[in-house]
Amino acid sequence: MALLEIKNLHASLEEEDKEILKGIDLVIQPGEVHAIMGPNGSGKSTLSYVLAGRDGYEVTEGEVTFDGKDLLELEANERANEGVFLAFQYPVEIPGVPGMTFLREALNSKRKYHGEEELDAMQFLKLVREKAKALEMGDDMLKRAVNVGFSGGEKKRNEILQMAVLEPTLCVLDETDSGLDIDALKIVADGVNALRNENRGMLLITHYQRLLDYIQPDFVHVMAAGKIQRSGGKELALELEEKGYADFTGKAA
Amino acid sequence: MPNDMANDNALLKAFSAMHVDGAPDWFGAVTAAGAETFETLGLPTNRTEAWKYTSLRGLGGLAFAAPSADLEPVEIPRDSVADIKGIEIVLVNGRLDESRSALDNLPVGLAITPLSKAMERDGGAVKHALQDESAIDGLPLAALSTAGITGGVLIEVARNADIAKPIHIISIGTAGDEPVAFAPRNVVWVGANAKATLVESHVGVGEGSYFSNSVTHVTVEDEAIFHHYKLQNEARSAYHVAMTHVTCGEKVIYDNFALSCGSKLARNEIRGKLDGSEILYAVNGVYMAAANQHLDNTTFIEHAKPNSQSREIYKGVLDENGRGVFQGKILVQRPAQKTDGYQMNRALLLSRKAEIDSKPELEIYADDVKCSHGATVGELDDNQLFYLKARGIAEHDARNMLIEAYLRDALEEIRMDSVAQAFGAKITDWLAERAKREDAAS
Ligand SMILES: Nc1ncnc2c1ncn2[C@@H]1O[C@H](COP(=O)(O)OP(=O)(O)OP(=O)(O)O)[C@@H](O)[C@H]1O
Ligand SMILES: [Mg+2]
Repeated sequence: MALLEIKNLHASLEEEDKEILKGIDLVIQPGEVHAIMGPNGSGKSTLSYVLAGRDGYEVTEGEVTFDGKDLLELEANERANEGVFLAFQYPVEIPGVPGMTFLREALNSKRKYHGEEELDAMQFLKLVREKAKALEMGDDMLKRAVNVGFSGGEKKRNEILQMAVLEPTLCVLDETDSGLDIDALKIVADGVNALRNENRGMLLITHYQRLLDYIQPDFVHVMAAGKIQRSGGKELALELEEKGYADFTGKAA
Repeated sequence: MPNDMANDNALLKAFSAMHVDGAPDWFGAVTAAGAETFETLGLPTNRTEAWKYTSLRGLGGLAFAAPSADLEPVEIPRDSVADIKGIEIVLVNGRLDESRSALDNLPVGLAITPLSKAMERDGGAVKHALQDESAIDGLPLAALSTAGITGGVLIEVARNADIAKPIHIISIGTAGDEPVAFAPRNVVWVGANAKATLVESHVGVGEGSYFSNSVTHVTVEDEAIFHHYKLQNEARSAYHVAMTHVTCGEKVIYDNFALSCGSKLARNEIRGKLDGSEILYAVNGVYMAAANQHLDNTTFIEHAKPNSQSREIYKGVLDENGRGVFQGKILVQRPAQKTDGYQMNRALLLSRKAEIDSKPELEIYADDVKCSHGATVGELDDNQLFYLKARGIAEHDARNMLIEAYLRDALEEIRMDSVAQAFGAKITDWLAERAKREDAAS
C-alpha cells in the first residue's frame, strides 16, 4: 500500500475562489524520498498546507489517501497524530508559550491519540535533550518561547527537532534548507537522513539542488502553475539547475 | 425620572444605615457630606460621561440591606483568595473581623489599626483622608460609600521601614436571600523612603447577591516604594465597585496590578495624583469575563509636577457574552514638563457575543511631554492556531494555550514573584473553567 496517494487534486482559496492546485497526482511509497521543485508561486506551499489540513482552502476535486485513510476527512491535529508532519516554510513564533511545553503537549497528544501513556516532564526533557544534541541545539534555545528570538536558520532547525521528537511517517519539508548556512544545512540534512527508514516517506520542497546532494531523493518532480509538469530521477534536479524553469512556465496551464 | 430617584433613596438608605462604633463628631459630618453629594449626583446612568459604558441599572432592582450587626460566621474561601503568605486583615461584609486580623505583633515599622480606633486619634491620616472632598467630588459611588462606611483599617508604614511580608486584606462578601450592601474603607500611609506591599483579595461566599462599594486611600510619601496588587474574585452574583485614590510624593515608585475575574458587574477605578517629580507610577491589570459578566477598569492619572513617568497596560479576555470596559485618562498639568506617559488596553475577544469598549484619553497642558495611548481588539492568531494544530494539539487545547500565553505575559508587570504566581494560578483556574464549559458544550 502506498503511504501517500494524491489523485487529481484541485484546490482553491476559499476567500478568493482562485484555483491554485490544478490536478496534482503523486504517489509516495514507504521509504521513498521525493523532491518537489518549481518556480515561486507555483503552489508548492499550498500543496503542503492542503496536506496538513490548514483552513482556507477548498478541495474541489480529487482525493488524498494516507496510510489507507481519507486524509482530507481529518482535522489538522488528527492528521498530525496519524503521522503527517509539515516543517513550515515560515515557522510561527508564539510568544508566551514555552517551546518545551508546546512540544511535550504535541508529543503527548500523539501518544494519547494512540492510546499510549503520556510522558512526564522529566522523561520528556531527557528525550528532547538527546534529540537536540544531534542538532546542536543547546538548552538556552530549548528554554525559549516557541521560535521567539530564533534566527531564520534556528527556526528551521527547530522544525527538524520537532520532527525528530514526533517521529512522523510522512515528513513534508517546505524549503527547510532556505536560510541555512552551509554548516547548518549539513546538520539539518544529517537530522533528516537519520529519520530515513523503510516505513517513512518524505516530501522535500526546495529551490536548491544542493540540498539534494545531502539528502538523496528517489524522485524529483517539477511543479509549475499548480501541476506536476515532469517527474524523473535525481538527474532532473541537475538539469533544472542548468536550464531553469523556462520549459515549464512557458507552456504551462 | 421618579424611578431612579426611588432607587437612589433605597440605596442611600442601605448605606446610611451603617455607622462606625465610637466614631468622633467630625465623622458624622463626613458621612453627611457623602450622602449629600450622592443625593445631588444620583446613581449614574449611561448619560453620565464617566459611566457611559457601565450601567448600574441592575443595582436599582435589588433591595439591599445593611449587613447584620454581628459578623457573619464564614470561613475564608481559600480557593478564591490569592494564595500568598501575608499579614492578613479580614473584613466580612465590610466589617473588620478583629479576631482573624493581624493587628498585633507586627513587624517593626508597621501599624495596623481598626478604622474606628484610628478615628479616635483625631487629626491622623484617617481624618485627613475622609475629610478630603476631592475624594467624593463628582464621584457618586465614592460619595455613596462615604455615606455608609462599614469598617476597615488604617495601615501605616513608618519612614524608612522595609516591610518584606505583604499585607493582605481579604474582603469577604456573603449574603442569604436578602441582598446586602457594604462599604469597606481602608487608609494606607507609606512614610518617606519606606517599602511595602499590599495585596487585596475580594471574594465571596455563597450564592447570595451583595454589593461591595469600597474606597481606599493610599498616600505614598517621598522616595517610598509601594506595590499594590488586587484580586477581584467576587461571587458571580455580586456587584463590586472600588475606588482607589493614590497620591505620590517625590521619586515614589508605585505599582498597581489588578486581576479581575469575579462578580457580575465590577468597576475598578484608580485615581492617581503624581504630586512629585521622578515618580514611576504604574497601573496594570488583567480582566477575564465570561457569561453575563461586565468588568470595567477606569483610571485617571494626573501629572502635577515635571519629570514623572506613568505606565498603564491592561489586557482582557472576553468570552461568551462577557463585556469589558476600559477608560483611561492622563491629565498633564502645565508645570508637568517632561512627563512620559504610556497607556494601552488590549482585548482578546473569544466569542462573537463578547464586547469591549475602550476610551483612552489625553488632556495635556504642558508643551514638552511624551504621551501615547492606544487600544487593540483582536482574536486569536490563525497562524499560531494552525501551527499548534499541525503538531497534533486539538483546537480547544491550542486556543487555551494561546489565551494563557497572552494573559501570563501581563503578569510580567508584577514585581513580586509570589504574587505573580498566586495571580497566575487564578488565570489557570479560569482557563480550566473555560475548558470545562467547552467540553460540556461539545
Ligand atoms: N492566502 C492567499 N491569498 C492570496 N493568494 C494566495 C494565498 N495563498 C497562496 N496564494 C497564491 O497562490 C499561489 C501559490 O502560492 P504558494 O505559496 O503555494 O507558492 P510556492 O510554490 O510555495 O512559492 P514559493 O516558492 O515562493 O514558496 C501564489 O500565486 C500565491 O500568491
Ligand atoms: Mg512556498
